[in-house]
Amino acid sequence: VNTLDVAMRADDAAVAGFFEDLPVLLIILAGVSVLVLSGVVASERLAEAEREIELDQTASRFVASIMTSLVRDPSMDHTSFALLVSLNISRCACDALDGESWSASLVLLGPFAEWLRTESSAGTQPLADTGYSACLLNAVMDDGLIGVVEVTVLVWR
Amino acid sequence: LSGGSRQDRSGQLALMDAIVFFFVAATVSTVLLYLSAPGPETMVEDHGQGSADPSAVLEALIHSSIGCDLTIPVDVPRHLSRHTDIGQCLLLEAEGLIAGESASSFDRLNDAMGMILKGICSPVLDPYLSVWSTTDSESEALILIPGSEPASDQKYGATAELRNTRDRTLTVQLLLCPPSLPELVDVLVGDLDLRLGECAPPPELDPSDGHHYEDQNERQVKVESVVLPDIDQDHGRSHEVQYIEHVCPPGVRDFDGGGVAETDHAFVLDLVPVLDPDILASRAVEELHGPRECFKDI
Repeated sequence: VNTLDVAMRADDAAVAGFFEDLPVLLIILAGVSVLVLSGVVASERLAEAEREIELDQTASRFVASIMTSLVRDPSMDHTSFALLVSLNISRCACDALDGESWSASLVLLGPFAEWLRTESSAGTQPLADTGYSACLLNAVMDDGLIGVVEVTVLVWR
Repeated sequence: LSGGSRQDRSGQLALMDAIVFFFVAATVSTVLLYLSAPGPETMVEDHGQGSADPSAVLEALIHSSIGCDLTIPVDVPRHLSRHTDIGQCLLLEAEGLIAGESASSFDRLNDAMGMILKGICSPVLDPYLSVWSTTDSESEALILIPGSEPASDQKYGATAELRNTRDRTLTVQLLLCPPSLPELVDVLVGDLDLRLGECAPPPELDPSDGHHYEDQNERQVKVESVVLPDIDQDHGRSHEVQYIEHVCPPGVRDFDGGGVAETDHAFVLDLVPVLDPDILASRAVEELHGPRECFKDI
């Protein structure tokens, strides 16, 4: 009968093998994964914030274009209801936007509430990011009352 | 293959290095995520002068007409036509109070101005208007609408100056405060009454229903319930209502009779821009974006 005699020696001749390095490899991989994932998330966040800022600025330009059309005389801070009704919002959108979908609404907030008009771009595209801007102005009604009108704009792409 | 080892502790160095690397990577990741998170400097953006901007609201309010004929029951009754602007009304009331008139004489005027103010400013904010008489030595509050000081610590405000006939300077101050219990806000969207809940992450939906939420962001406001008016059964549903039924299954099942159905899977972002423009609600958009983006600190 052959017997395997194993003699243990207390010396430094042992050689470390592949499996002894696996824990080290796993820890390194976990660290690298955490770095890569956080980098991706951070870049996504920054890109999203940049898109939102850009769309908000676009919406602000759109509102400014509408306000310029409504208040043609800079010395006056109010407009007339007739101009509100006849305003060509699509033209303002063409001047201020670069192909984004948009929707603009004019709402009388005081002295009584009234929905004046809403217009939007012809084709609506799936919504991903939005920009928003609004502005208040005074408008003289037909009977001489001065009301407060809010111009609200939403742009998206 | 042969190798040797030395009588030192370098055999543990690889594991120690890996652990140190992991913790450094975790720290760097945490810092990276913290810095990229949207902070106040990116949340406060220029959104124009909407109904959440106190200076815009105050300026528009002062130049707005009162909208109703009023008679102030003072010693010599004063008649205010509906065309009188609110700045004039505030001056008249302040002068009356300085002259010793009873504050209760102006209650109806204050109610009328308070209603207009409430209508102009954002529905998610409580407005507080006050008029102060300023002299060299002290300031005195003459008018408070709605009659109390704001309880909230978070205030956004603006001031304007009015000058009366006796060349006395009156300071008009407007404070906008978030309401104390902002759990639910009713927003009228055309003929739809959307009751908005708190922001919530998109739910996990069955992809088989054809509706995906990958592009939704956390700023979306969850629609807790949709209240629809009675419909004429002969004409059936409008395409807006059909769209809502498509967007928020299985929350909305029964619209008949103006019933309320829970819509835990619906978001305002889904409901607003793709609907018919007639029911696009500026106030819903405001809810969606949050008024804090429009705020400017005092």
